[in-house]
Amino acid sequence: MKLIHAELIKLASLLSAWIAAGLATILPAAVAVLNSRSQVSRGIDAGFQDLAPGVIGAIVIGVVAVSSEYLVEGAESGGGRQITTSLTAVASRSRFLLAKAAAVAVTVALLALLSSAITLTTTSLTDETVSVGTADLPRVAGVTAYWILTALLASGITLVTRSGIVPLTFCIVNMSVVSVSFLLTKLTSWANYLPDLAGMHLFLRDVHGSVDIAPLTGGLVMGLWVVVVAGIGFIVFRRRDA
Amino acid sequence: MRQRSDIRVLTDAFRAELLKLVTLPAIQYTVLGIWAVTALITVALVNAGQDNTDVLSGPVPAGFVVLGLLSMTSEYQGGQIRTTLVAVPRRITAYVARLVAIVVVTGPVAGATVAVNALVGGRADGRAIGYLTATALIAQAVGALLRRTVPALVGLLTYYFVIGPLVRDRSFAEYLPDGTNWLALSVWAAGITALALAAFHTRDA
Repeated sequence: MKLIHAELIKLASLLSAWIAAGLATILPAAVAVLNSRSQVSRGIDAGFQDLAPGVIGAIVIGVVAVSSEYLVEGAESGGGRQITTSLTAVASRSRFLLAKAAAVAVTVALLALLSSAITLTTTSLTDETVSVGTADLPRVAGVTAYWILTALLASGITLVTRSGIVPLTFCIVNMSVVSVSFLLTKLTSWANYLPDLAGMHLFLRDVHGSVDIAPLTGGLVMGLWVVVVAGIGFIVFRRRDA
Repeated sequence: MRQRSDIRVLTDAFRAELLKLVTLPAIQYTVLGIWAVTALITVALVNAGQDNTDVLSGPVPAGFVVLGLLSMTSEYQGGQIRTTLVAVPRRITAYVARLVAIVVVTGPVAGATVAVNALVGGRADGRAIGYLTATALIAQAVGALLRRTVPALVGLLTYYFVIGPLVRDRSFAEYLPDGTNWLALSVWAAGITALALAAFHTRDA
């Protein structure tokens, strides 16, 4: 618990983490307002679709939680990095990583719940054709799971690269409207099982994919991706000099 | 020692900045990444029967955002900027030299990217060279203003890939920094660069 607390303090002291929290809570609601003005009926995914861009906050938190450890503070402070201090305080690398993963997951889960509440309320207030009720709670759980898994995936990639630039660029560009994964589905239908597209099925019921995936299957596929990528990150982190 | 002329000071500063840019591993990897991604997605688009030049307005500008941003923020990672300003104390000269070096690097990279796209996909779109270079220029100015890589990167990419596509159907979208209006794009690039130059001139390094 103490370790998780320490990781949460470190996370809360990062400017980028606060920007991410702002993006995660404000962006989906803003998108919901924009979309409700358009005349097109959005069907079953109204509101939930707007939550998809908010995952950018989860990505940023997942990345900076790891990349901030490796940021060189500058020659005037002896070229020090946070990771040196962290591993002096917690010598066990696996415990350190588990605490970090837990801190990221807890933060992102809270953000996802908060953002879902704000966005779905906004949607039902601004669009009278949409009614959001308790029957949608499993989908809110799906959104939360999707955000947590995406954040952990981003952390896993960052563990290998140690710099935030590659994972941030890769993940944010890929969640654009015409994502790279979506383009790849035109090459092969296997691309529907890439983590972002499979995970979408957790909370969207009308995904424009060429393969129909059940919500639970989508979640499991994405979970498997996270296990593999985070596992690689874990092994690399265990074996490499800090 | 004889005093160097103003022109000589500027060209020396320019050569130094160019040397720093082309020897930075992060810049080299970014350029290679841009070309690899361009080739890969062009193949995907051609297979899907879509216009191969779509990639130049899709994921490829992200590479140029990183290119422009890194060329500025790399100065602030570890205090390189102080060495730079000891060598070239005149702020305007230092910034202009770097700016010219960025254009000299980005222009050919954008040209080669369009060439890769045309070679793989078959159709060439020369206008993309200007768009991609302008994107890198906007990114370097934002980098010079914020001085921190990650917040600047998150802000720029969120704008270009999330907010930009959402407002693309509006009538004013043409005049935004990711729009297609040439005059507006030039004004954005010049305006943000002027703001960055003013900040760099007045602010502590």
